[in-house]
Amino acid sequence: MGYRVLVIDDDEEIARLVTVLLKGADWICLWAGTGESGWTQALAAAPDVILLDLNLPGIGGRELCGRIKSEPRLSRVPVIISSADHREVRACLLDRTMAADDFLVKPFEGEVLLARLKKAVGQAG
Amino acid sequence: MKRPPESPRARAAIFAAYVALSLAYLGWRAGYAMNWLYPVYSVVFLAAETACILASFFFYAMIVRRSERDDPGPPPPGWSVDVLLATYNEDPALLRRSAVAARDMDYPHRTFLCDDGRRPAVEALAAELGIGYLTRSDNAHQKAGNLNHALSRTSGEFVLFLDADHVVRRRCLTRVLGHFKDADVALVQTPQVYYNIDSFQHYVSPLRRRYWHEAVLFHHMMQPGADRMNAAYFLGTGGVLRRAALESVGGIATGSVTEDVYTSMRLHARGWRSVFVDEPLGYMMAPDTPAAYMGQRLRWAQGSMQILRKENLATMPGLTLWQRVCYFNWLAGFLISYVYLLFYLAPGIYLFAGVSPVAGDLKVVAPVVAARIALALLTYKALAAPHARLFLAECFNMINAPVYIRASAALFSTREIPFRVTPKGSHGGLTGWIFLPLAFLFLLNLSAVGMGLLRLSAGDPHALPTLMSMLFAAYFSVGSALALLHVYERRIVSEAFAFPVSLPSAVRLRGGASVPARVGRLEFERAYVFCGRDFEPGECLLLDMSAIGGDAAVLADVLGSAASVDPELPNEFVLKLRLLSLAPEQRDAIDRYLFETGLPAFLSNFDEGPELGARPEQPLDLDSIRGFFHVRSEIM
Repeated sequence: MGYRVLVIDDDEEIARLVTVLLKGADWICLWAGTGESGWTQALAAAPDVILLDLNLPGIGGRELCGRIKSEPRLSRVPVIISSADHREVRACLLDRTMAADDFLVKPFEGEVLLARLKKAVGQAG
Repeated sequence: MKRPPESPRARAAIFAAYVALSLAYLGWRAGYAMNWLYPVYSVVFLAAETACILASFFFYAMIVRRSERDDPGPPPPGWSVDVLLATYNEDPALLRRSAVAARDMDYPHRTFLCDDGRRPAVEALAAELGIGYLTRSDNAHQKAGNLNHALSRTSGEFVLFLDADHVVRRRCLTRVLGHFKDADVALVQTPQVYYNIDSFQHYVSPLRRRYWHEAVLFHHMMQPGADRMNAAYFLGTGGVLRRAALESVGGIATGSVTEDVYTSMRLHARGWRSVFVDEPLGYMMAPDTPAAYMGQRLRWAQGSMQILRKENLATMPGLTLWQRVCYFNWLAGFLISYVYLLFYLAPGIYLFAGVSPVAGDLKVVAPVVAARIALALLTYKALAAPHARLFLAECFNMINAPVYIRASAALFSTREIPFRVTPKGSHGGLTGWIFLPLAFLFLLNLSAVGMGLLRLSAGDPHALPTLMSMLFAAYFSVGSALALLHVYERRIVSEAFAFPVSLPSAVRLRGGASVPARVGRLEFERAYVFCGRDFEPGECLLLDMSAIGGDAAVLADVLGSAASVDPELPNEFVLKLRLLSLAPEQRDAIDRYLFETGLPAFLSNFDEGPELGARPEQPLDLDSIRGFFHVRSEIM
């Protein structure tokens, strides 16, 4: 059985892109459009990697990342922050308490995203 | 510091010997070496040789001695100065760079963006930077009209004119204004020094410490030479003019697309003096593609033809003899391309048709012609040093010839010529009229060499002239082949020039860890960084450039990386980074560093470069960036 990636992003295009990229790789792509639904799905689906947008309606990406990393069932799941907000990403990198495993700045190349996802599950494995 | 020692007497002696021997050669050619079997061709060729030699006389007369001006000292306080930055369609980001530099010059002044494009974004930029914004309802007389309109709306006693891509150094006004203590001085012009040293017209090799560009002789030899004769030209940018002088000639001259030369000609004719300060007080963009380069040269040549058509240099009142010589040299110099074209065709004409413009006893003709060529080469090497790059100059003569020949139509045409702004940034393309003439020259001369081989193998009774023609044909075919390659390679520019620097920095990682690094090339959008750790594409990091000043931890992601092949840096990687979080103030700080420190330090390394005599506060050792140039092709 392949890996499961949970995309938490209010832009559904990102989830579509991931689906296309992972086509043929036996991965499953799940999508949540808000922080709350993302949290619920993360608990229910136990994904292998989470691609998390910073600017989400409801619970923001930074807070959600903290919740995920504090939850014993999810703390080992790699979280990749992805955002087009450069200042927010910069702030996250400077924040030593930020527990994300990786960062991606939008826009990104599909190949780059795929490589980061694979590396994340490789690390987790 | 690096200019070779010059003896004025030795240079004058070389020039005198060149003139005497060249005249003797012409006398010999006309009297003893004409081929009267083909009288028209022979006479035309002799006329071409004569024109070429006369042009070289004018050229060497200009450069044999250059002005050596004493520092006039700082200007007195209280002079009113306006800085007019002309723009039409340039990118506001490019304009910001120039406008901030203009605003921040150290002598008190007012800066205006003169926008002939009537763009709200440019008006907003002026408001943000706290500088003036001037525009008008039409574009009459193009750039000259734009500047005259701005002059009518301002009142400064002195006016610095700048093009949209001209980034001045802080001390620019302080260095040039002092010359206006002489009340007869109307113009102080500075050279055009280009920062994008990978442009179409550049040949710069940091590894070999070579620096040359197509206009280097003009800016650092001809202008200082013209200055000695009170004939330095206004170049439309980087020049300060006295308003009273400008008003005495009716403002910036209209009626030519090279309004700058025309204006200085009128100033000189009114008895005003000019000064050339051969000091890099600002940096510009050179045309980076063949199309941009050709467009600019076409405009210059067409503008010169317009002036030649309108003004009679021989009778124009007020000019001195040397001023006439200098202006003639500049304005009519474009026409020498007809002569070059004939020279490029001559070997083929002989080898295919057996028609030679020269005849006589081969035992005399061959050594005399060889001696004449040697004389021309040695004189060029001696008097044009350190900028004498014969083969490069020949390649560009080939590239320029079709443009200048095309422009010569303006000598007879009264049709208005549109002012084409030289494009900046990503652009390019190749049109037939750039490519085809070079391809023709290449094929003609290459096949002429082949024809010569056939003739020799068939027992040619005139082996020596055949061999000499083959040598010329081979030389021209190699030159045109390299010119073709150069035109093809540079046809498109997709990324802005990244400045060579050596900036200590650090790569900061998540969690506070930090890896020492060094920025090797830098632009707004990207940086090339030496680092002891490799990164994967897409990885995010913070590039700490606090050496520039302020909080300069810039968010970046990795676009690519390559292992350093520099043996002195065996464990280093070169990272290509995309800079993501530059605030406008950070961009301004980077610009200040690049243009005040980084670029002067880089250029000062070249023995032939524009920073001769400069003593940068932080010299940049080329060895420190060698590794970058080794690997750049892998990741750029």
